[in-house]
Amino acid sequence: MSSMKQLPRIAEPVQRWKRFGEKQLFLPNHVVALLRPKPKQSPNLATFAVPLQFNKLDLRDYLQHAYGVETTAIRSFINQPKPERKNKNGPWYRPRAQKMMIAELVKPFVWPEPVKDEEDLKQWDHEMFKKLQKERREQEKKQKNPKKVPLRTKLAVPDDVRSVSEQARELLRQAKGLKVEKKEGKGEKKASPDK
Amino acid sequence: MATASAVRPSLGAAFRLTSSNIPKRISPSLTQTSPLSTAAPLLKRHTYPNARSNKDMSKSRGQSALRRTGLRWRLSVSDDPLPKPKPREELPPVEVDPDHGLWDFFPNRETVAASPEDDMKHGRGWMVEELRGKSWEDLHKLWWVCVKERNRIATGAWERERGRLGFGKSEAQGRDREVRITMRGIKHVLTERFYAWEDAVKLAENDPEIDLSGKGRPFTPKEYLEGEAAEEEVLEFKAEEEGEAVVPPPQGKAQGEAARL
Repeated sequence: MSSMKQLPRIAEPVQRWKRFGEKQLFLPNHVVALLRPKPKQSPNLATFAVPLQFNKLDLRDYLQHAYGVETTAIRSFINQPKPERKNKNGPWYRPRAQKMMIAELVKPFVWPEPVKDEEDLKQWDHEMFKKLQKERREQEKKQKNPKKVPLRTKLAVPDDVRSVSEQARELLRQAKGLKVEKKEGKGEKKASPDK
Repeated sequence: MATASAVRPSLGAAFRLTSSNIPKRISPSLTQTSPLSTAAPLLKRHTYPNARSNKDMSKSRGQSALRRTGLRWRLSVSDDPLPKPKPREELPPVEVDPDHGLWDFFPNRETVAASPEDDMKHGRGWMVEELRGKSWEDLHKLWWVCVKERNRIATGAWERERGRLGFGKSEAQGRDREVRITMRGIKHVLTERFYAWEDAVKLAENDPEIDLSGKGRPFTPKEYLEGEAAEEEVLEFKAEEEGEAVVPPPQGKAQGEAARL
């Protein structure tokens, strides 16, 4: 027994992740968002967008006590956006950075599939949204290099103009006594050498 | 130089394999009992005639990960086929706990982001007048409900913007505003209570009935009433002594109660 007592006692393994801070926060005012994982990301990882002042310990505590989600480890990084300017000659400024954290979960969590169905997307008026986005992008392109004016031949022919030109061509053919050949889906450019 | 050692060691290893595959009874002289006993000559580098001497003595010269030359030495696992990982599609589906805490981040479990129509289905936030009557426990619970709701709105907004689902920003912002109004109300009420407590402490310091030392009874009410009510009582007592019944006016009694409170 005496020899047993002399042996160095093996310290019990410290469960590091079971310890939490002692400072109590009663009314935290942070907004934490859960983000969709990348397509090949493991189901044991969950990505969060957190406030800049958050640290890993904060998120671990937050998830455990507010949501009952156990974590084994947390990684963090900051997405720093590129400098921007409001106008073409305006001052440069740096948009606010976004802190991200990836938590390794004890229980895996799989997200529902992203919404792809046209019917479901109608809830957000997806069609209109896409059109507006496209127009906005074109506008931005124009504003970026206003000197670059596209050639008329490069522009898309509006529908009403096309129909008028088709009618005119038909009339010409009839006047010449030729057979009317209906060519579908042909624009002005191809038809013009026929004249 | 021997033929086996002249070629690259890896090729030599291949020769060795073929030689070991030959049955014993056909060529007993070719079989080797210990295949690596002749490792030393195999490792010797082949030199071309009239080649310049290369005396850097590097044992791993010629090994390149980029050119996939392999090792110069044959290892015990050299001929083992590498295990291939299973394709992602063939893996069994991960079972998600229906009570997983992360579900609380979603306004909608199917689409993740709430549609603008659903986002619009909200009333107004709690007003300060309504919150004044609530206990600290109630206010604290309500605060956390608000925090989680804000997280839900933020998660939906990220999903809507990242997935390019469409419109719905202003609806989500409207909902968020109402939640923030409630949170502001909670803080307002708690601040009011704190100021009231501060004032009460200031009053208690000068109040002889209240003992703030923390020893003994904190509140010992005086035996007699003060002010008008006390005077009335004295009068009553005198009247009783004189033998005349005086009916006290009801107003005076009400005033006395108000003074006590």
